[in-house]
This record gives sequence, C-alpha cells and structure tokens, in this order.
Amino acid sequence: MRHGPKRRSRSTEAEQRFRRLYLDHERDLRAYCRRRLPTADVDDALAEVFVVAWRKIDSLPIPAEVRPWLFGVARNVVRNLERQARRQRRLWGKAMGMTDRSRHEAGPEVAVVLRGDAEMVLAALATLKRADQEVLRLSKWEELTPAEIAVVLRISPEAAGMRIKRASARMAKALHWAGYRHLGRSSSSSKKGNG
Amino acid sequence: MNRDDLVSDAMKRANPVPPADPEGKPRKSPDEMLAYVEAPAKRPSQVGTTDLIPARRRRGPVIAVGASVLTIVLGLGSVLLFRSSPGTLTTRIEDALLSPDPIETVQSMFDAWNRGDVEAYLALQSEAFVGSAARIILEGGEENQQPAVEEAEALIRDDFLYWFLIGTEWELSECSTAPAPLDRGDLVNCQLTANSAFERAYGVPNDPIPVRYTVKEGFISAGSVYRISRGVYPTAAAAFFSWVRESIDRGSMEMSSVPCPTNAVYVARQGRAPSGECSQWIADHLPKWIATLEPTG
Repeated sequence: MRHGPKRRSRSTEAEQRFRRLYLDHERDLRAYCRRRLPTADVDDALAEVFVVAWRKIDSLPIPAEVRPWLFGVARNVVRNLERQARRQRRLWGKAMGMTDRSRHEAGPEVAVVLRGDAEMVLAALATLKRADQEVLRLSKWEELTPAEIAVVLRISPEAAGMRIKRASARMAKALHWAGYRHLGRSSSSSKKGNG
Repeated sequence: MNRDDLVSDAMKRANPVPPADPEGKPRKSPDEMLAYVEAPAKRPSQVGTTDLIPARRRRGPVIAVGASVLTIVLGLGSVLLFRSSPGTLTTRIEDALLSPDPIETVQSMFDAWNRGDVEAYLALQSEAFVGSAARIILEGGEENQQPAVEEAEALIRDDFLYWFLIGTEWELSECSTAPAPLDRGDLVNCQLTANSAFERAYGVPNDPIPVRYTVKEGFISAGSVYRISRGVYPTAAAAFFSWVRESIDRGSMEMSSVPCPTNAVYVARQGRAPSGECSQWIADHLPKWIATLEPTG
C-alpha cells in the first residue's frame, strides 16, 4: 500500500531522524547490552530498544537527553531479559532430575573473569546494592555524566551526583576488602592474567 | 591515591566491552533496522530463522494488544467468577471491551495508565488470579523504577499468556485477605492447585501452590514505580519451545509444519503470545513433549 505525498514526506523525515539516531547511538547501546547480557541476547535487546525509539520518534526528548533516554530504554529492556533469565533458572532448578537443556551461555561478566584483576573487581562490585552497581556501570563503563545518569534513572542531577559519590565510596571500600589496592596492578592474591 | 581514581581504574579493568572495542560497528545498516522496526507482521515464511532480529518483534505490537485484550477478558471473567470487584477500573475495562474498537481503546488505556491504574489493575489480577502461577512482588524503591505501563504489559505477556499457552487448569481457593486495593506492605496468600499434565510431570500433582503477593514500599512517582517478579511455572513454555527447536534441529519435526511465528523460541522467551492457530498446535503437541520428560514424583 502506497502512502500519499504528504504522509510520505512526514514519514521520510521521521525515517531520516531514525537513521541518524541509529548511527549515532547503536554502538554505545550495543556495548551497554553486551556488558550486561549473554551474547545471544544482545541483538534482541538492541532491536527492542530501537523499536521503542521508532515508536517514539515523533516525541523524542530534547537532543541533549536523547542519548541518556536511549540508555534508560535499554536499561528497562535489559532488566526484563534478566528477569526472564532468572525465572528460567528457577524453573530448571525446580525441575528435579532433569538436565538443563537451555544451554545457558556465559554472560559478558563471566567471560571477562579470565582477565586478571577483573575477577576481583567484579566480585567487589557484586557485593554492592544493585542500584550502586548500575550507577557505577553507567558512570565508569558507559561514561555518562551525572546529568545523563539522572535522565536514565529519572532522578535529579544532584541526586545522581550524590549516588555516584556514595557508590564510589562503597566500591572503594569493597575493593579494599578484596585486596585491590593499586592503580595499574593488583594485589598478590589476584590472578596474574596474561592479557 | 584518590578514591575515585581507584574505583575508575578498577571498573575500567573489569569492563567487559572496552570503549575502543572494534565490534562496535553496526551489524545491521540503518535501513535494515528501519525496515525491521517499521515492518508490520510478516508471514513466518518471510522470516528467516537466522535473522538477526527475531520474528517475535515483528508481531509484537499486534500480539501484545491481542494479549492485553485476552488477558483482560480472562481477568474480568475471573473476577465475576471468584469475587465481585466493581471498581472503576473494571468498569473502564468493560466499557473498553464494548467500545467499537476495543483493541485501540484498551491500548489507549494502557498508554494513559498511571500508578493508581496499575495498582488497581494488579489488585484486580490478584482477586481474579487464574493464570499467573507466580508470586507477584511489587518492589518499589528508586533503584527499581520502571514505567508502570511496561511492567503491566510485561505481566500480561509473561504470566497470563504463558499460562494460557500451557493450558494448565487451576483451582483457586480463597485468598487470606481481600487484596483490593493493594497497599504497600500488604501480604496476600492464596492457594492455587494445578491439575495439568505438566505439573504432574514435575512431580507435584494437585499439590496446592502457595501464591503470595507482597507489596513493598518505595513508590516514587506516578507511572514509574513497580517492579514485578514472578514465579517459575510460566516459563514452562520456553522449555516446550526449546523442545520444538531441538526437534526441528534433529529433523523429527518440519519447520513448515509449525504454525507458530518462525522464531517461536524467541516468542516464548519473550513471553509473546502465539496466534490462535499456534495455540492449538501447541495444545496438540504438549503431550508429546511431556512424554519426553522424566517423571520426578
């Protein structure tokens, strides 16, 4: 079915916006998903994010907030997938006597464990509250500013700044207890990965 | 050493995908992604199983709306069966279903939902509990914010439709307290008895399943307050679809004979509802799958 010229023009404009949005942010969003999901789920999650973006293409936030808004969408998508994965694990746990045929794939955080210090850092990170973990990831991995994190988490920039500060303090403490002390090197108890 | 530097250094070392990762380039071109997000439902034959983007998404909106209406019908019927709950939401749902375009009306209801609506909706579901063999936990708190509409839709997709898909029959006994309206801190216990072959396969024939609803504190703002966790039973659909996929891989089942969306496995994983024809096919094949399970009772 063909659209009339007017519809076509509006549509083209929206399509152009979408293409630009995709080119500008696909890479960051893919990295966001890869940092949090098993590889097999990354494409699904990414597609889900852009479906939402397309649905909202006519009412996107102001340009400065588009990027963190997309991260906010990605965050929700990732959480949905994580929740479903947890449920599936519980199912198999309950199904006594059955082998796990779901072929769980190691997530990105498992894969990175082989990289020396990472194991210790991730273990320390895991001791924090989920909210602290996420704010640290957004700040250090996604490299979002406090103002952008505020958009993602739907809180004020001041609150975001405070959370980052507190989460960093807790993380520093957790790293201390884990034996991670120096920049550029790990403690003697850590594994010495070769790359 | 500065504390922030230490944390930054540590986090960078543990970053699974460093910023300079060369894999960052798009795997799909903008036009391919555009075609995907724009595409209306496609016939299964048009969708390759190795597509980067699963077929479930193409059918998603249609299915989600259909699922919503179906769920509301189920919920409404259950309310009438088990309890009377003539709240405003019930009235609005009734009105929506009687409107000239019920799907669009219900969809616009979802779009306009706020915290109160979701709370009422969940209360309605709690009373009318039929399909969601699950524990529903509403977790508030800033760290768990998520748009209420998305959560409600997720609830519908994941619980009710899974239940419907599996075809389990349930008997609900009285809940310990009337959960309408749900308030923070409310704890509601119900007994649910499953009678399905699936339940028997899992060694719990006719055992009542305690179903507990907990409403936790921490509402932050209208429309973005809830987090809902659910139990294990609905995901049986995923196990079933895994079996379907394995059967296709082994060659004991023809892909073309499966009237479900092509990537049925994805559909199940994401909680999408299959078509009516697909549901019937699933109902026909469930016994074959169950026969492959080892009884555990």
